[in-house]
Amino acid sequence: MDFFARQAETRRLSRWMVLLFILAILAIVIAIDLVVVIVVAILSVEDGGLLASQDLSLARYPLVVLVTSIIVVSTIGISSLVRTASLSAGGSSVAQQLGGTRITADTTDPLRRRLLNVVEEISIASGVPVPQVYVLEREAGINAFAAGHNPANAAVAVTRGALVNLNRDELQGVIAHEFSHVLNGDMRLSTRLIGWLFGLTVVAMVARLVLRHAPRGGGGRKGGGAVVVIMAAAVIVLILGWIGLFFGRLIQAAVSRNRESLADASAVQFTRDPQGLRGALIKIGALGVGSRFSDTDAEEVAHLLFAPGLARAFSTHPPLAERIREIDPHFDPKEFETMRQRMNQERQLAQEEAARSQPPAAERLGGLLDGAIVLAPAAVAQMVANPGTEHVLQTHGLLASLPPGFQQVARQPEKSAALFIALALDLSADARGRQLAFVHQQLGGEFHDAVQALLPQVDSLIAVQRMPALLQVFTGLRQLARTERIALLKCLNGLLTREGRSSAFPYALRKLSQVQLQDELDPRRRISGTQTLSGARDDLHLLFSVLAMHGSEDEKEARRAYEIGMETLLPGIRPPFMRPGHWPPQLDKALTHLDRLQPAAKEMLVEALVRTISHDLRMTVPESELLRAICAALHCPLPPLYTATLDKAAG
Amino acid sequence: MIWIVLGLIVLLVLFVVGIYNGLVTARNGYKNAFAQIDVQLTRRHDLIPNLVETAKGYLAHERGTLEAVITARNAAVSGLKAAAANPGDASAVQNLATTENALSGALGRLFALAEAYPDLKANRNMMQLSEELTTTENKVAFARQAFNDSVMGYNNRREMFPGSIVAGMFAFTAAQLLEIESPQKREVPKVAFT
Repeated sequence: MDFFARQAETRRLSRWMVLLFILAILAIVIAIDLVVVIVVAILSVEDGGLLASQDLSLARYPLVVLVTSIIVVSTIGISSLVRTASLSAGGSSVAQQLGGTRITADTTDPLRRRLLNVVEEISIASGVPVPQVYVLEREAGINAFAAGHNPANAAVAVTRGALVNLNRDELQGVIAHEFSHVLNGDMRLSTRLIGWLFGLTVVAMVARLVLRHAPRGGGGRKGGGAVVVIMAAAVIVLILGWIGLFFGRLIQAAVSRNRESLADASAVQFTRDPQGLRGALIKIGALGVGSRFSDTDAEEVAHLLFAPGLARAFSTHPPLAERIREIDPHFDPKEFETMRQRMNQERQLAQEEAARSQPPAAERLGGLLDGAIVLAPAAVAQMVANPGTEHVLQTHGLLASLPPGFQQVARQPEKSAALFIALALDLSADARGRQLAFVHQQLGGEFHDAVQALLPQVDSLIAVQRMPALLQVFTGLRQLARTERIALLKCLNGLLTREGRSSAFPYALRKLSQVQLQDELDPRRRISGTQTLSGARDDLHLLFSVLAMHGSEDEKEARRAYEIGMETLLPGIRPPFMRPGHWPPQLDKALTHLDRLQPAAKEMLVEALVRTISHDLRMTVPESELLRAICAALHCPLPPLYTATLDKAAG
Repeated sequence: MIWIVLGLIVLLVLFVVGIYNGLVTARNGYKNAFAQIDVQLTRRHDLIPNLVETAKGYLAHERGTLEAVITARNAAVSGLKAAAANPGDASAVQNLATTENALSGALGRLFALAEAYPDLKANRNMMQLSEELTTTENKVAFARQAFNDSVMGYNNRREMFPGSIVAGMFAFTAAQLLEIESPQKREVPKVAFT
């Protein structure tokens, strides 16, 4: 079965799922209607009303039936919607709700490092972007799942048990299995199913609530009977709630069972090695806890899991032995037992080993690997909108290095405007002359003279100081009146068309002022992100090309930087590195598109940008300026990182 | 009559242009796919000096093996450089495969040797480096598959009629598949049970 056949199969399955869901709702509604009608009838009999007619057909109480049906349907509908909305962030929300811890690229824990590496490998093999990776630390069984609405907000979670018990190849098999869920589109279906299932089980939950909070003992003479009847009704509804549960599990089993076999097959295809997956399945069979979850919330996600998380009637997965036989027809179930013995022995050996050798004292923790590179991509992505103390200190140091009196100037609205324009001027005398003439014409002679007076100060700044200086100026600028700001921005746009050649700083200056001054003028402009990474291929191509170009003069180095950033976002086919000519207008357009990315995709993007920048272990000034501008345009603020030349680890 | 002939000629030219463009697209495709291998192989080469540095302290008496790894690594670096400059050069790609295989062999011997030194094996740097090397080699293997697929697509286009005629006219040379043997698994040694 090829890729398209699998996706078609998924669509067929989701239609089947909708049908089952509607049937389930119908069954619940009819059953509850019946119960309510009986209760109403009994109550009215007690009142001495309808003694004569004992006909309990639904048609006798059309209003009761209608109201009850509407209440039941909307309860199911609304709770489904609420649950679905709680998963809107994609796979990460599912993983977090099950107690998952995110693994970032700078982890130094060997097991986590290995997991992350394996995920990156399979991402290359399958052409799916690297998802977020979580570990379920509390789970000792061997299990894993992938969740999310699309590859860009997918998350892969692995239990602690899998991390500890599986070797590298087995882990690879499990991860490849999960990736095939992402690729074939069943992850999307499964994630959506979580919301629906919640709606179906809500009836039972409501009944349970009624039972718990119902007044105990007969309060009044007449009310006592009613309470008893209502309690009885709640018990019945609780039992009826099992209808929902029944259908829910039926749907889970229907969706999950054959998807799992397919995913096993694709996993072998990705890794080209059936041994890994086979070994993982055998270990599940051999391990005492197997693949079981301790967290009962796992009920909801049973259909997402790699292997059954709970024992129950409608199994979500084919039996282990059957799954192994699909991969290896000669499998003998006795292997479970041999594996169990082997795992026990290994555990014993490991314990003895640990007892004998104390942890190596103060062994220098590898200053050689990614983990120790100061600019670890995930760390920077984490720093977004979360400046650590270190950065406050660095900023402080840089600000102190600015010429005396600079800060006072920057804080006064009128002077800050002049300083702002002075910073925007081109460095070459020729272009600067043209620009100054334009300033004179636009904002008057007085302003022109103020700018001119500030020029010596501005020119004395070294490259690293320009960005902190600019950021200072914004505090003053924000105090300007609306009309003044608009005039200033208009002048700025005119200046930039008169500059010599496109370079990073003026671009960053304009982009930042757009975000800092213009967005504030129009606060309602909020873009909700739905764009996917693969849909923004051309924009990413340009963005990374421009960034890589500023990282290195050398064509080959730049191409390498480009590839390192892009490979995490578009692991499959991606356009080759190019050296764009006059890039600012194109980059503007690309950034506007990229601002519409989904939040999770934006995080991946920032991470990838830092990968590109840090591939040669140093960040040039233009790179830092561009990164700042890009993050501002994407509406993810970034703390200031400035040039940090790191020694290559090998030295 | 003359119009028909003219029309046929125009059609023929368009046909040739179409085939030519197809060949160029396929060639750019495999060149681009090579860039992805290039990244991973470079990373592999960058890791090796660290590995040797770490192992040196423990394997003082095994200088031969360590030097062999460094030599093989340097050969692979220059092999990669030549191949990255022109992924269409069949001999350069062939040479890269040879040097990479030699490097894998030298590394295999180093790791086999390390088995005899429990301290080295337990060294945290060594474990990290070994993991990084394994993942890089796996990534090379997967990226290589994509490269070989597009090389095969290009070669098929080039050799099949009528593409072969156009390819001959414009000197499209055959591209070389990259065959790097997967290095032996460097797992923790299996404990023997009798």
